[in-house]
Amino acid sequence: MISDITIGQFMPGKSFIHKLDPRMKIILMTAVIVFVFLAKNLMSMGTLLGFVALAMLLSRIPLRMYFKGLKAIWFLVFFTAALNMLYIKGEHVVFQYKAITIYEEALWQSGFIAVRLVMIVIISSMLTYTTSPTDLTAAIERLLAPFKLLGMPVHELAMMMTIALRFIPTLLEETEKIMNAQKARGADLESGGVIRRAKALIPILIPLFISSFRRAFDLATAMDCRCYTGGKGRTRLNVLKYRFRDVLAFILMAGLCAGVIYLNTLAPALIR
Amino acid sequence: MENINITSNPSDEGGEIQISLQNVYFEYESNDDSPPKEVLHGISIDIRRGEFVALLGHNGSGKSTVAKHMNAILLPSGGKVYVAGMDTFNDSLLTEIRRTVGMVFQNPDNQLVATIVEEDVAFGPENLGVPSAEMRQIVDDALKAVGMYEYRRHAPHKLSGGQKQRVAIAGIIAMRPKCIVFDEPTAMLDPRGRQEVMEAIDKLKNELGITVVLITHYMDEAARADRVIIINDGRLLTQGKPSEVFSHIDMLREHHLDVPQATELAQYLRAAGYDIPEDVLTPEECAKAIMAAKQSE
Repeated sequence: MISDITIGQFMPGKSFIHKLDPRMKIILMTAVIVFVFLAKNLMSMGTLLGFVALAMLLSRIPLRMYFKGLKAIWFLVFFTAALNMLYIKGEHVVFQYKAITIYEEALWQSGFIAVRLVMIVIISSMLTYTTSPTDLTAAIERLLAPFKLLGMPVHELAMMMTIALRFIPTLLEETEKIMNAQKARGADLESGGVIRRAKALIPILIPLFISSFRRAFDLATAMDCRCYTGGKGRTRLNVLKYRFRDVLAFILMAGLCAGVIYLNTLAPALIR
Repeated sequence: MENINITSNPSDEGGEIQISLQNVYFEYESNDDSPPKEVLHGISIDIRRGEFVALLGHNGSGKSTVAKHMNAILLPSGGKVYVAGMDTFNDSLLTEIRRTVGMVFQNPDNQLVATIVEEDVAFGPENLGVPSAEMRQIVDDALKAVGMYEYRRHAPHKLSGGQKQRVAIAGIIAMRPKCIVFDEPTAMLDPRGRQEVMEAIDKLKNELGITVVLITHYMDEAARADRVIIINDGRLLTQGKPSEVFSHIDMLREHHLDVPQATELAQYLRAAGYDIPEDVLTPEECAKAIMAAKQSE
């Protein structure tokens, strides 16, 4: 049923990657994504690929889960690769047929772009597979804390994320109830064209909106009763702490980044 | 504090007064030009430390409005409310008032904030700035008090209604309040959930010594209280021990209120000529009274 959908698809576990501090995971993920774009020849890209493959093994998440995450972007990967292949001009012609000319440079370019996209998806699904939404929110709140000085409502954003995550299953359940109630009164939600089906959604969305407002009102009162006055002076039950494994992961990552930069200089770039 | 009305309070043998509503009027402001609607017409209630008070009244009698005055969610348009001597009009005391009197509402789904049970229970203490080192103990104790400790890592939406409501209660206990006001906490629950929640409430009163104000329309729940207050049409109709109040069956009927089933049965039996006392409240008492009546025949 629709309530089975879990946002971010967290898969609990006890692997090295699971146990990393969520802040460290976000930092490392960002670094990998940046360096995926900096790697410009086979040596540096190969090193990165090896590193990501090692991380995938360490996460102990079944490989098919990563492929599931990739399913959604196969078309995008194929499309961008094909476009690059057709439009990029170079010196060495590999293939020519009528108006289509494919250059060696274009092959490299599209190959690299495809690999980049796939790696970004793998890395970001690794983050959501191995980190609970609660940890993720806490980490984002902590990492963005410096922006408070610039007037960014960091605590409020994190609170909104938490409440949204808390109410997604509740609202899905409610949607299902309303759909069943309308079906029981003869509402036809499945047949007809796009416009007809969109119209059939109105009697579902309106009750859902009204009840959401009521919930919001109730929740605000309940939060008032529990002395919520915003982020100021709040403490946390679970305090995030960097441990030895986080330091280790950070050093490994720093080594990798330096390696990618060094290897980039050893051979000419294959991608602009 | 001036002019506390003790004479209207039959249970003056108890401890100090924790919540005091003094001649409270309340009106809702309407959106259009029509005159504001007055829901409370001068109500005075004192709640004493350690009491278990049930607040009864039919729909629209103003009982929920009374409850919302007890921790400054609503402020009276006339009269005064004191919580442990603190005036609810005083903005600077708001946090102190709300940590003294906690409140549990009808819909358990709309009170839980976090995605994990223990984090939700920690929400109140986090707001109060309790140091992280002490938090763990407070949260664990609160969850144990309502028997939800084993569920501390669960997601709230996977729990039953009664379990969610108990988590909500734990979230209030974790703020270490002196008093908890329950606004129809069992109205949306199945019989089993009701049972669980009522057991948790009994435990609060008996083991943690927390003052309990229970708003309900289940007469069987009200029968457990030390004192029953009946509100009708924004006014205090009557108050007293459950056995006294429920013995006036005709008066209650007149105001569209039920009596506990056991009391009702006892009344029918008495009317049929059996020797059954008037103050029967629980099924157990009723069964004993019937046994006694049978034996004396």
